[in-house]
Amino acid sequence: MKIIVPFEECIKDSPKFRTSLQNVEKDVNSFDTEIDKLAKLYNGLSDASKTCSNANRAFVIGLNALKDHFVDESLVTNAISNFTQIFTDLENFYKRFIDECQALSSTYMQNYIKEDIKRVRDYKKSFDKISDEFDTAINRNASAQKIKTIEVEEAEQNFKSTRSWFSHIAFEYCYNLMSLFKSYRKLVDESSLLLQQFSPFTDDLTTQIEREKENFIQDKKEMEKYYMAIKEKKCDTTDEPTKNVGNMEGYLFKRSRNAFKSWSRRYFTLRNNQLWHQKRSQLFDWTLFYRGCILQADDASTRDMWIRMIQDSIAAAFREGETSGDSLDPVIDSETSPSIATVSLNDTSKGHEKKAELRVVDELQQVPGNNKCADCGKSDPTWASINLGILLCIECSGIHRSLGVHVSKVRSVTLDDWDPEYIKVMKRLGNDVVNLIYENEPDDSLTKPNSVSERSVREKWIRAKYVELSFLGNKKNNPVSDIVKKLQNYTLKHRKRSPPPKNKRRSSVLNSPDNPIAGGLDAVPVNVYDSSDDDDIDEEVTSLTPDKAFILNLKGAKTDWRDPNNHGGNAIHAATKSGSLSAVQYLILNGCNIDVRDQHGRSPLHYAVEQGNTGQVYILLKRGAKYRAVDEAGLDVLQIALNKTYADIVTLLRLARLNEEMKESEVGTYVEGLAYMHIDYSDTIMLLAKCHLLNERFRNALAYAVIFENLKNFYNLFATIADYTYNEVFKDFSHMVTADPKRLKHSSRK
Amino acid sequence: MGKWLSKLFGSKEMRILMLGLDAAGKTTILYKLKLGQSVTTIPTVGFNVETVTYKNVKFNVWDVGGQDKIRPLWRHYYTGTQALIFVVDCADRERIDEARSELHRIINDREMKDAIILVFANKQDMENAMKPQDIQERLGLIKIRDRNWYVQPSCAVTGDGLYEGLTWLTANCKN
Repeated sequence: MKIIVPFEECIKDSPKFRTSLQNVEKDVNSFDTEIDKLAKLYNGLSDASKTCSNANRAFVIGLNALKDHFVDESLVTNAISNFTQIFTDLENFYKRFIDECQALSSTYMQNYIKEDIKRVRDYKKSFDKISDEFDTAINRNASAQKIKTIEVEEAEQNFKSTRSWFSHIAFEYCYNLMSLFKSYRKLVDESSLLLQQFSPFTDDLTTQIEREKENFIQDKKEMEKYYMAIKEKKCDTTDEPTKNVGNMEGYLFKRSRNAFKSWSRRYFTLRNNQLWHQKRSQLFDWTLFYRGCILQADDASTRDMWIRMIQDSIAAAFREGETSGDSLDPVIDSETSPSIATVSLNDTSKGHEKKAELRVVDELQQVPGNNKCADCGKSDPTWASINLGILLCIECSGIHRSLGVHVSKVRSVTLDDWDPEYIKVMKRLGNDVVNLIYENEPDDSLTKPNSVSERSVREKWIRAKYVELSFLGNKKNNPVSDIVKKLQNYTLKHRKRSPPPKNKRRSSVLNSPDNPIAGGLDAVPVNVYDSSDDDDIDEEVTSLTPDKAFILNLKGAKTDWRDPNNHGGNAIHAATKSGSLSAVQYLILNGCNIDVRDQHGRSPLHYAVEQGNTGQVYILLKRGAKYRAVDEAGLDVLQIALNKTYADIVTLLRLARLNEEMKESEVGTYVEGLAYMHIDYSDTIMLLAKCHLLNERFRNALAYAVIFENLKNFYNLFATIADYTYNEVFKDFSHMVTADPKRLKHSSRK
Repeated sequence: MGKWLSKLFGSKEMRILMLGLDAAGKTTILYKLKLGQSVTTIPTVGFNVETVTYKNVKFNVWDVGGQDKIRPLWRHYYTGTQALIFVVDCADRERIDEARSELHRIINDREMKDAIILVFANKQDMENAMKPQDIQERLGLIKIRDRNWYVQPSCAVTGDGLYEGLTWLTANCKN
C-alpha cells in the first residue's frame, strides 16, 4: 500500500488532486475490509486452535493412561513418556504462537488501525461537508449582485471563512491519511518481530522493513514540513490560480451556451497558448476552446491575472505563428483558432468576457500601402477588391461594386469570411504594388480623389483607373518594361517586409522574347527576370508576371492568347506549371477561363494533377474546373492521379464527381436541405459526431452535404472525419442513390 | 373615412424581405422603387427599410446586408414575412452556387415556409449575364414544386423588370 496525495495539487484543489484523493480513499476502504476479513479468519483460527489443544491434551492424558499398563516394560514407558514430552512441548509452542497472534490482532490490528481508519473517515466526512459548503459559498459569491453591498459583503465573508476552513480541513485530511500509513508500518513491524521466532528468512525482511521505515520517516518529515508550511501560509492562497511562464490553471465560472445561460465551475488550464477546461470530477475530459465564451473569476485580482495571462499567451501565439508559419496544425491554424484570437474586455460586466475572432483585417492592413484606401487614401480601409488585390474605404468600395464583378470583386474584410487562398493573393499584392501598375502614368486632367472627395470625382477616377486602364501608360512607350523596372525596385526596397516565399518557382510568362503580350513587350529585357539569384526577389517578380500579363490583356487576350513556347498554353497554364498557388488563384479571380486547353488538349487541371499540386487541384475544382476532359493521349485527370497514386488528389476528384451527382439527385437536394439547417459550421461538426448513433448511410450522406457546403473548410473536415474511408463511402453512396433513395429519405426523417 | 375607403378599394399591406449575396443590388432596387431614380450605394451594413406603394398595395420592404458574417442575422427578419425577394447578380457566375445555398437555407426555415419567392435575376444589362432560365436552373428552383416562386429578369439601374416583380407579388400574395 502506498499512499500518495500530491500536496501541491491540494493547494490548487485541482481535478488531479480530487482523483488521487478518490484513489487513496478507495485503497483505504479496501484495506479496511481486508483487515476485517483477517480478524474474522483469526477468530476462526483461535477457536480451532483451542479445540486442537484440548484434543492434544486429551490425547496426552490418554497416552499417560496407556503408560500405566506397561509399568514393567521400561522401553515402552520411556518411549511413550518421550513422545508425550515432545508433544507437550509442541503444544506449548503452538499455544504461545497463538497468544502472540492474539496480542497482535487485538492491539494493533483492531485498536490502532481501526481507530486510525475511523479518524480518517471522520475527517473525510468533514472534508466532504466543508467542500460542499465551500462550493455553495463560491456560488453565492459569484451570483451575488454587485449593487447589494451588504449581501456581497456577507457572501464574501462567508466565502473567505469557508475557504480557509476548507483548506484547513483538506490538509488535516491528507495528514491523517498519512498517519494511517504510519500505523500500517507499525503493524508490519510487529509482525516481523513475531515472525523472527519462526522463520530463518526474516533477516532479509527485517532489513527491507528497516529501509521502508527510514523511507517512511523521511516521507513523514516531508509531509510535516508541507503541513507546517501550509498551515503558516495564508488561507486565501488556496484558490489562487497557480501560474508558471505561459501556463496557468485554476477554477473559473463558465457561462453555458445553452438556453439557460447557467454558470458552472470548471477547472481551466492555459498551456501552449491554448485554453482548456474540465470538470472537477473528470481527469481526462479536457475540452479545447475554439469559440469565445464568457468567464467569471472569484475576485477582481484573480480576474486580472487571468486576463493578463491570456493576453500574454495570445501574444506568444502570434509570435510563434510568425516564426513557424505553415507548420502549425491545420486545425489550430483555422479561423476558429484561439491562437490568433483577440480578447476584448468588458469591464462594466462582472467578471470578464472574451471573444475570439480572426483578425483578417490586421493581417491585410500590414501589407505595404494597405493602411489607406487604394483610391482615395482614406485611412483604415476595411473593404477589399479580391481580384485586384487592394484595400478600399467603404465609399470607394461602393463604386467598385457598381463596375461589375468582371472588373472588381468587393468583399468586406471584417464582415465576410475569407478563404485562405484569397488572403494569400491579397498579401502578395497590396495597394502599393497594384498602384504601381494601375497608376503608372496618372492622367493629369483627372483629379486624384482624397478622403473627402465627392462621389462623382471618385467615380471618374476609378473608372479611368480600372475600367479604361488609362493610367497604365502609353502602350507605344512600352509600359510593361517601365512597370517591371518599378516593381523590381520596389521589391528590392521592400523585400524584407515581403512575406516569406512558400513555393519556389522558376517560370515566367513574359520572359519569352516573342511573347505577344501588349504589343511592344518584346522589348522587355529578359534578364529582368533571370538575372537575380535572390530567391525573394525571384519569387516576388515572377509571381507577379502572370498577373501583369493578365492586367495588360484585361480587355482581349485573356482567353485567346496562346504562348507558342509553352505548347500553346494560356497564362493559367504557365501559372499552374510554375506551382504557384496565388498566381493561379489570381488568374481565376480575374476571369481566366480555367478549362482552356493547350495544343496537347491539356487543361490547367491536367498539369496541376500531374505535378501532384493538391492545392492547385483544390482551387481549380472549387471553381468548377471540368475534370472529365481528356487530353490527346486519352487520359482524364482521374486516370493521371491514379497512375501517379496521389491519394489526396484522387479523393478530391472523386468528391467533386460525387458532388455533381448529388446535385443531380433529389436525395442530394434533400440532404443539402438538412445541411442548411445547421448554419454554424462548428455546430455541423458536433452534429456529425452525434450522427455516429444514427444510420450510417445517413451519416455519410450528411457528411457529404456538409463537405460541399463548406468546401473551403474541406481540410479541417478531413481531419475531423478522417476515419471515413472515402472510397468505401463513395461506393456506398452511389449505391444508395441509385438503388434505394427512398429508404434514405425515410430513415433520415425519423 | 380613409380607412373605410381603403377597405372598399382593397388596399393591402405586404411585408417583404429582400435578401441576396452582397453586391447583388438589393439597396439599388429598394431605392429605385422608392425614389424612382438610380442612386449610388455603398455596402449596406445593417439594413434599410422603406415603404413602397404600388397599385394600391403598400410594400414594407426590408433590405438586409449580404456579407458572409451578417447572413446568420437574416433569420431575425423572417417572422411575419409574406414574400421573399431574392436578388441575384447574374454576372457573378462564380458565386451562383453560394446564392443557391443561401436561398435554400432561407426557404427551408420554418418561419419562411409560407412566404412566396420572387427572384430578381438582376444586372441583366451586363454582358455575359446569365439568363433567367439559367438562374432558375442553377438556383435549383425547378425541383421546388411545393412553393410559389418566380424568376423576374431585372436591371436595378434602369428599373427594368422591378414593377413586373411587384405585380407578380400582388397577384400571388395570399392576403
